[in-house]
Amino acid sequence: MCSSPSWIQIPQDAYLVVVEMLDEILIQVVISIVEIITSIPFGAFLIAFGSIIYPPTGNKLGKYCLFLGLFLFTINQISHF
Amino acid sequence: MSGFDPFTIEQTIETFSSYIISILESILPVLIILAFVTSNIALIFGGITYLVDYNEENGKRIIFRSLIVLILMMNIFPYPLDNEQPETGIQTDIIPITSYITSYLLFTFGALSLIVFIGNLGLFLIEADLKRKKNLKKSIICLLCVLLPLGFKFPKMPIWLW
Repeated sequence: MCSSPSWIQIPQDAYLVVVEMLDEILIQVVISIVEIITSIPFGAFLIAFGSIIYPPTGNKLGKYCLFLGLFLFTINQISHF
Repeated sequence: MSGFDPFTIEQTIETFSSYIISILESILPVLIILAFVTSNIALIFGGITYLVDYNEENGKRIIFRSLIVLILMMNIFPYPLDNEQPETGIQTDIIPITSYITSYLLFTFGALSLIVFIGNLGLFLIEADLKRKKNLKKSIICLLCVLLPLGFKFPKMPIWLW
């Protein structure tokens, strides 16, 4: 527990209010990150990146990028209906 | 507690995420064109190694990979070989250059495979041999590989205007 000095007047539930603020900010940040990752532009970006890397070298990373991009495209298609 | 506004923080986070998405969208056309060019170059080099070199397996694999990627990309994104300008926000300055590059490369590869095909056909007619039969098969496969990404529609080449 962090003990405040006695000469500063802080309400007793200030700690709880700060925790709630941080909670809300964290939840919004996580939601926005998930929205960015599951959006169509990110899927198109993944497909383009994978198709740059995959054909000449045959990397595993490029292959999985392609699969993930296709997966994101299908998810967005399903959510439209 | 009046100093904290959850609404403004929400707004700033939303604007930031939309900013990141707009950056991705602005990068996309360049990446798509790069992907088309690299997959075409990979197809051509794989075809040349498949035709000429002794280790055919590598060339076959490269052809297979690049064909899969090209077909997938053709179905998802607008193909830059089309002479008509697609309407999906891709920058119009880059498309003709890439279409010329890819069509030149594909036509050189097609000409090479045609030359190999005709030469091996003549040699096969003179003296039938298993090796020549194999070479014939290879050159036919390479011709088909050229025709597939072109989509059987031939772009306007500047060669034909000369």
